Amino acid sequence: MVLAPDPDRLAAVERAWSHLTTAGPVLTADERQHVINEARRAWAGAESPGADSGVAGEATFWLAVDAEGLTAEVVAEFEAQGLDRLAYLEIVGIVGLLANVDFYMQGLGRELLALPEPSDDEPSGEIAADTEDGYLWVPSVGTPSAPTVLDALPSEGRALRDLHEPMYVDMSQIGNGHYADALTKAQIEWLAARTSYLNECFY
Amino acid sequence: MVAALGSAAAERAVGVIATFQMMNRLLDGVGAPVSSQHNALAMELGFQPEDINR
Repeated sequence: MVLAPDPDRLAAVERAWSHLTTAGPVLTADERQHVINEARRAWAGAESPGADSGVAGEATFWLAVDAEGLTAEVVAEFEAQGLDRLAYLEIVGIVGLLANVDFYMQGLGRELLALPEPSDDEPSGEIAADTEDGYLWVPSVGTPSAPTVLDALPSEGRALRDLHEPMYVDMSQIGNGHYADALTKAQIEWLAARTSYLNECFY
Repeated sequence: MVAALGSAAAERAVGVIATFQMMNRLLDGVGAPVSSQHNALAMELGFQPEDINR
């Protein structure tokens, strides 16, 4: 069975895909597409990171298949191997947004989106001016909430919220227990809780 | 789900689940701290709070 995507969610997926496959704040388009390939390889059943994928590939692999198993010590070890915290944060964002895009397409019974040829654009270098260390394992802005955990890299934070709202609920409706569209808010929250339980995410 | 609720509800459910596949990875990947307010609930679900590395 193949389900038709909602037009607003499909448009959000297409914007996210364009964002994911082009240069980011720290990583080039080619580096971001390597992250996408490594995550997809992990979801396809690979048992370990690619032999020549380096520390970025190792971080990608574990974020894809066992994010709940990561610890502060593991992230510090990534840094010791040369993956700085902002590059790691960008990889977290790529794997996260890719999970949303790919699981949505797969869940509808549709083909995964194909990677375009990577552009040779330089990374933007856009990093928030007011980042703080210590609250998360990565730099953050203020005391982050779930939709703002990527905001040390502003373009990644914007891309997260651009996908999060049409897929979940508009931020203005998050506290509205009477909200309903094709599902009730209770049904939406049950699905969210069940998914988080199966992923052992306790936030 | 399609038989029970229809295609629109099933598509909506896929979107919610996919979103939390994203959010779970983001929050665990950045080490977002888990509030101790949820310890009782964690134990009710069979998890020991001290085993949660956040």
